[in-house]
Amino acid sequence: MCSFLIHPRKKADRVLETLLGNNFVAAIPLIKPLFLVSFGSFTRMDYGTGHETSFALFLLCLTLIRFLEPVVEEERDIVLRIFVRYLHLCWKLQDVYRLEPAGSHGVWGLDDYSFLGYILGSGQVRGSSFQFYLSC
Amino acid sequence: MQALREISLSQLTRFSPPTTRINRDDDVERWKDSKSYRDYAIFLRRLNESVVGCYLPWESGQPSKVVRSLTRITYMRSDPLHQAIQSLLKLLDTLDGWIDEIPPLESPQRFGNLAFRTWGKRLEEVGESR
Repeated sequence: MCSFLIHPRKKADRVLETLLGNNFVAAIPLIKPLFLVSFGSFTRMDYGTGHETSFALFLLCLTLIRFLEPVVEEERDIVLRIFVRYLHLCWKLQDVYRLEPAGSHGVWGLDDYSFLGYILGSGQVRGSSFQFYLSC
Repeated sequence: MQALREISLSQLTRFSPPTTRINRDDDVERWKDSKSYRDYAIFLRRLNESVVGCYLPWESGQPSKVVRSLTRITYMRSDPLHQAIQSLLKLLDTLDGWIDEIPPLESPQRFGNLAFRTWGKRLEEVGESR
């Protein structure tokens, strides 16, 4: 019998409670549905720009309630730390579990799974007047 | 740059949890007329604006915002992380760790390893709070 199927339930943290702390507990039922669909479809075994949008909407909700602050320094961290970290997590999910691209291989066909990185990245390079080389 | 409105915690009782509301083509038009759509547009525009001229890697406590022109490079310090940002990163780290704990099953399938269902089940379980 595969041992990794038997996971003690108590090991699973209550991540949203841990995330939000006591002050924002009232928001959990409202943001949980968005959070749960932010990482792909467990029934269809796929991931696509719809799931990515759900995560962005999850971050939007956290900002609306002011768990995250809509100030430039924080917004910068939301993009360059949170979203980048989220992307890496999703790439790992896609690779390890061989997730199929959901929908018709991504909006505008730029990428099989993702689109927001292009939108946010366009801000990074806006107005740049020098040649740069793509690096990971 | 438009401000993003605030929803106070006392107002949250008026909201019901989100459900899938875009099921048909004409639902998309309804979505475009909604307050949420406008909020999302403002949010994305603000995020986009915040990273103009900012490049990766982005490490706090180090001079890492780089503004490059043809003639000079200017470094600006990035501030230490707000607690909320740290908590979110910790959450994503936790989810990442679960992938290592739930390895893929031996499978001849090209797409879709069933272990992803186990990972997803754990995600749904942690939502069972109070």
